[in-house]
Amino acid sequence: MEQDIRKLFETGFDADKKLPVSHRDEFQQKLKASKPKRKQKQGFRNVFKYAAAILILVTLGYFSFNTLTNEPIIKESVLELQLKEVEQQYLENIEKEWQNFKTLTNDAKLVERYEKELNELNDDYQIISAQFKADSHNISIVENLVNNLQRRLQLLKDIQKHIKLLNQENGHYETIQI
Amino acid sequence: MKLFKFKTLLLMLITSITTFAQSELIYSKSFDTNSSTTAIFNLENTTVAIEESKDNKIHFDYRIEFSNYSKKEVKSFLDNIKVEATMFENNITLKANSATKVAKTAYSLDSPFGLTLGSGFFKTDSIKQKIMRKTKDSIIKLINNESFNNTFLKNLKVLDNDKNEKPVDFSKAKMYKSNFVIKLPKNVALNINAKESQITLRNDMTNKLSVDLKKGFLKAKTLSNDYNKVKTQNADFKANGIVGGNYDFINVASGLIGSVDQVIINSELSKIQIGEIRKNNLITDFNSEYWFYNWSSDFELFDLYSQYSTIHYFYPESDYSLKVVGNNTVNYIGKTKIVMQPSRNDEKFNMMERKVRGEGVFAGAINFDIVDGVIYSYSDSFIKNKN
Amino acid sequence: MKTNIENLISGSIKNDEKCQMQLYDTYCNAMFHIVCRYVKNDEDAKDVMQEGFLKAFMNLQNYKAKFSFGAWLKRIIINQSIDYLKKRKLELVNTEVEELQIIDTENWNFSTEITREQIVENVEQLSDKYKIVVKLYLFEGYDHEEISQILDIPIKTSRTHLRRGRIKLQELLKDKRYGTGY
Repeated sequence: MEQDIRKLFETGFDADKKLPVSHRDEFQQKLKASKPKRKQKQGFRNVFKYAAAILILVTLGYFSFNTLTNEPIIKESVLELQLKEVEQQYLENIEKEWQNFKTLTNDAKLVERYEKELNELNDDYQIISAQFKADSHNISIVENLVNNLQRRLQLLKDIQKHIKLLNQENGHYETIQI
Repeated sequence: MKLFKFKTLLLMLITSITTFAQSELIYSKSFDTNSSTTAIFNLENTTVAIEESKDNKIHFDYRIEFSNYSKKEVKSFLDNIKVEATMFENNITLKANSATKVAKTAYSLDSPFGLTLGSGFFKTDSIKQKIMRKTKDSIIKLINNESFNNTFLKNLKVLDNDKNEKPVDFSKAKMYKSNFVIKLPKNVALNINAKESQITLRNDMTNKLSVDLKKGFLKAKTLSNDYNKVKTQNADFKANGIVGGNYDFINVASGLIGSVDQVIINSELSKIQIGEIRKNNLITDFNSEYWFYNWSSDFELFDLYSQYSTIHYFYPESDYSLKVVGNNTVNYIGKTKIVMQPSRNDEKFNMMERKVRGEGVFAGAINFDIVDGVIYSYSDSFIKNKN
Repeated sequence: MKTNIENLISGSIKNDEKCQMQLYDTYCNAMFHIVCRYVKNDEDAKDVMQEGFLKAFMNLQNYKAKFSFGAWLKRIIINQSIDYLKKRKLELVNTEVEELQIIDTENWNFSTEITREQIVENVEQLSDKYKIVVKLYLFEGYDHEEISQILDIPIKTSRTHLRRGRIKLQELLKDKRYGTGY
């Protein structure tokens, strides 16, 4: 007598396994720890060079080496607004990549190291921003701002690429088992 | 592409231009030294070049040349800069900082009807370059090329009142050029603490160096001293060669080293190209990208301990042995991918081995201890430098 | 009128911890059992299951009510298990899948004497690449399209591995039959 064994599994089957008693508390801890600091926002369709270029170009327009020029500096607020917008988009993108990165890896030490690095770069950024407020005509300060944002984003993208290379199967390659 | 209009413009560049109307001496001082003199340079927002002094004296010479600046503007600029060197009990201390960044050269342009960048500026060159073995000499060439980004300059145009594009007349532009040179005798031990500074060491140096640089760059010829201790963080590092010493690279986005010899490198989050690996080097790394282009025929021993690193590894020319130990690493060789999975307890195990073939000269043993790494091996034969 | 589960889901999307914990309580046992089919170590299985839940909570806004929530959650949990396997075990992607047409009658008929437990036991004996496909097909009820997405392999590979796995399973069970009794 024969049977189609697929039918045997249709209703699912339970192993004798039981979860440990502490599992619920443990999960609650993990849940608390995983709450993101900021809500994810929409991604930024980015062309890095373009954004940086716009930034620098826009700055160039309102820029003189020291404040004692013949012409008054006009439209300062426009520059600052435009800078703010680019900064906003970068920061959103960085946050998005940071969340992606965290879900991509289980290595807590790696995440910790990146958190430290990003925090340091962020602290740096606050300093540069303060410099910018004090001297908004200085292109090197603007360059530093942009470099900082780009660097953070690039770091996150690179590490995710690295992790994916480690995890993924790549169809173009023959895989040899070691 | 969009047209950007500007009223005034300042560019920071590293180029040289012709005539200078005003030359200002910022600081000039000299001290006698002997073989036990030590020097400490504390630098911030400064650009400095260090050369060899042949007369047993240390010379500080800081000049800025201005072009088309008014007296008032010059004074205001100079007020921002503070330089002072003192000597006490055979220790020379230099303090040089500036409220705003002093670059090597900077321009200030005035254009009543605006400035624009031509369409050439927005071309993004996204051609992915095939990674090829570079020679040590080509790395040195790269280091010595004053490669500055003058795409701005090339594409910058002035607009006249009819919105026509005209070339920029730089002879009318306000400009300054800063030249801060320190001449240092061979036997003086040097300690540099710098932030946001651009430091160029123009000669090969055997001085005992201790460098701590945050942001900016350090460019050198050959640095040889077993007691060298160099730490660059968020800065660029370029050297024709380093011999002996300890080097820490943190977040060095584009490191270029012609050759390494008996050095210990600790690195994190950096990208470093090495032209030639010589004797007995050790690299401990976290999450950097390295290019090991060439190996000397007597490199003896090379150890790499790394995690989350990407290694571009070009085979040595002479006979050698290679041992790869580790965990969770992927190795791409040409069209093949070797996947070395993590072991259960994150233990390291023997991933790959290449035993000595016993043919020709034995150059040395390479040991990679790699966890979570990506290795690209290039099994090309040596490509001669097309010169 | 929203069902209880739908309420819990809306609450969870808003990061309401109570709702999230209730969802967890509702599904954790079932999900744990599923993970155990793939992850042998209980401690690891628990971790994988919990990671899966966290991922699910992070992606709740992508859940569309037309699927059953349980099935959606299960898919995420299965993906998490597969990721775990990929990291822990040797992988083999057999690229020499034959080009010939697979004329497969999909014959899953086995003797009625064979119990479910015996089948589960013998599936464990299969080599990794067949085992995973057989489990996803037989235990979880996924079709080849779904399996190819989960494992990131071509559909043809999925079919081939399933066929070979099934044939091997039949061999194993035939032997066992003669080995026991008599």
